[in-house]
Amino acid sequence: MNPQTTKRLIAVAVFVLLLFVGDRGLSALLSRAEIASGFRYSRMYRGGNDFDVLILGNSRSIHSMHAPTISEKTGKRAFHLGFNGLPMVMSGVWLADYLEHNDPPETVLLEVSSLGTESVDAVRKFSFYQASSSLLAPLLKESSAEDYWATRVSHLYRHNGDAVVRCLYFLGRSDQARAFPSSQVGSEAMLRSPLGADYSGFVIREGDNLPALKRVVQLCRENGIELRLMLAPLSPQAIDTPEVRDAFLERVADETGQPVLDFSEAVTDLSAFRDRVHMNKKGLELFADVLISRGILPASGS
Amino acid sequence: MLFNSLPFLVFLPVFCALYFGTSGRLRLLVCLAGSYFFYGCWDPRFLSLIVLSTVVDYSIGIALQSTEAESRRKALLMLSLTVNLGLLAIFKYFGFFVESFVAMASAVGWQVSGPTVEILLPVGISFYTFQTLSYSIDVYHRKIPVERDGLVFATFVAFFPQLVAGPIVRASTLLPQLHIDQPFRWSALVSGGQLMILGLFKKIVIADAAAPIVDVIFANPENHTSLTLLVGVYLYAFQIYCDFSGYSDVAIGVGRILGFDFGLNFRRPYFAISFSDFWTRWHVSLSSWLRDYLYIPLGGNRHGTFNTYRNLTLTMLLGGLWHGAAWTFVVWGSLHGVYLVIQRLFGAGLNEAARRLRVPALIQRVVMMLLVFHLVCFAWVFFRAQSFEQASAYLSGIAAVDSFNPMLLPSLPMTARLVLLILAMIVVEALHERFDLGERISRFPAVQMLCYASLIWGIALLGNFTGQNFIYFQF
Repeated sequence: MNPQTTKRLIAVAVFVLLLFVGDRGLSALLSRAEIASGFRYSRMYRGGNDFDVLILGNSRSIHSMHAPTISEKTGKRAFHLGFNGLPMVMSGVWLADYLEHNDPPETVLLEVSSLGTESVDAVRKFSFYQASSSLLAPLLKESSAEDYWATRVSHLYRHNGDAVVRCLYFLGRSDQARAFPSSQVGSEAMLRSPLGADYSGFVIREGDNLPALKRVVQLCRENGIELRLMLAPLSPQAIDTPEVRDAFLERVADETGQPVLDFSEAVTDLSAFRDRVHMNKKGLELFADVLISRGILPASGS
Repeated sequence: MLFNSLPFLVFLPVFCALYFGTSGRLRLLVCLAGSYFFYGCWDPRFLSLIVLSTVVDYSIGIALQSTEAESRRKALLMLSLTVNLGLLAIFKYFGFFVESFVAMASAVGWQVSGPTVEILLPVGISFYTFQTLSYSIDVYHRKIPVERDGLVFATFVAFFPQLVAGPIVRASTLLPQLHIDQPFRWSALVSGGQLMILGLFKKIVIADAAAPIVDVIFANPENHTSLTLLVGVYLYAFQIYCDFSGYSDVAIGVGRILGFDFGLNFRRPYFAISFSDFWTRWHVSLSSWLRDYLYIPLGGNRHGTFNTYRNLTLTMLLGGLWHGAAWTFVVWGSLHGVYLVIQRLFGAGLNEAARRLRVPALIQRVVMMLLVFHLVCFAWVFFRAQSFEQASAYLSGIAAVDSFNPMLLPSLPMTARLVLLILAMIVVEALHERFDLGERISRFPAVQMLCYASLIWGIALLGNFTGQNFIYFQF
């Protein structure tokens, strides 16, 4: 081999080594920052929490149950583990990981609309917690082998996505109070337009979502946790297929052996909604009162 | 097969191994087969169009050389124009012509119903038809010799790095290079690889990250604030720039690795200080094509002021139509035509005024840059909008000046991250305007290595891997 070829091969080797070391080093630095964040899942993985009420679900859970409001009205320490676009599969992961790192809560409130949500994007989005969770990597492999292998080759790729940006945004501060800051009210025409029979919140997507819900039920039973499955409020004027909703709730109850509380028409004030499936700040207050009045949660001081 | 896809990452090394492992006609065969395979991955049916275009222009070239009779030569050129533009008319503009005709007829009270045929647009048809057309025109004008080697000619038409979205490499540039067995050069591998990394960074990290935000804003402009709409059009300006120049960088990089020089297609266009300057920086291979094969044959600036303005406007209007079969593209092109005319009318006067007022050159430059950029952005609204109603709602929304609350921007963390990345890119390009940044960095191999490693880390960390198509594929 001539000296020039040797020099070039060394240059290639150095470049590959630099790529590898940088990838692993930067990823480790990011992981440290992420786990130190006040983002809900970072707090969960850091451990040592002993909340009374744990809230799980997708954006419908975020836009119906506000941890600080519930804490204030009930005197119970509530913690929200929901996230926008989260499928039920991820709620299963969060509960299992929460119980592994923290004391079990008294009550889990789980919004079931996430049974209709697909899981690929959500699992990939949170792959930066792979080092803290034994469940995430196998789940990613199952839902997207390509992404799984990409996270093996490049550890930096695990930190790719908007969830990381959110996580780093909450460095040094809690995300619970900011989980729902909007007072926006949707237009009346929009709030009255029908959801239609194919609304994803009344659907059980075939695959892992239903088995995940069954695991949640099982985990709660094993840990003596009171589990409340529920359908959060919807704009009442938009529900045009109550029979589809009822069949959905019946099937969930049948499959899990657990009753599902139907709050879909519990909030009738249209000004409490920002759109047909998400409530605003006013809605959060109203729904917290509903949960207390129906005995799901205790009133403060009771 | 997309440049930003896993299959291409496998295809390229395999192709390179076969390419450099062969020579002569066998290498050309590898090139042609690889190019057809690359194109066939989209839709093998449309390979027939490339083959048709190849056979027609190859035969016309041979026939042009074998006759001196001007009438026959003209007829042959017309045949080439008819076949190539006919293919474009059928596959790209048929629906547009029918819809426009029906709309015009109904506007004058004549109710007609046009055929509702859904024709799929073959990827890259606008690029390779222009490439083959330029060959026939150049042979007709005896600017280049005819290509007698069918294998070389077929490879020239279908060469995969620039087949689907350019750059439009002229026959005079590419054919001579195809006749030579390009040797493997380490320096070409390094610089081509660097260009590919840069192109992929621009595409995956900036353009593809901007795409979902821009899509949301343009889909319902009436639901967004003035600030959001303004940010939306700025983001689109950089999305389309990074998308297309990113593609060009990868294409030119692949070509360079294989030993070919395709020239430059982009040269920091948003630093242009006039519209004529903009068009020497944006999609250079198309703008020079339009200049040489449309503007100059129309008369260029040789027949008086009015005709010059007419030729400019017409050239840009047709350039707009080349991009897509919609009136919004026609308006986009026409706007650029009007900009060029206005520049010719008032440019000299403005410069003189600035000189008399002793405006510092730097201030003058920055003001012109901002003016050109914002007028280009104004035109981008029509380019991106699906209809005039959407464009009008978009511009009305900006003009409303209702809210400038940044908290109402969609996907705020991602938008903020993107804005920071774009600002960083502007700084790098500003430096590059002053001196050859690549050359300076190459003096320090360790720094150079770190720069390109950072781009790769950036792709892994910040890239959007949802498999976004390149915008110019639709043209």
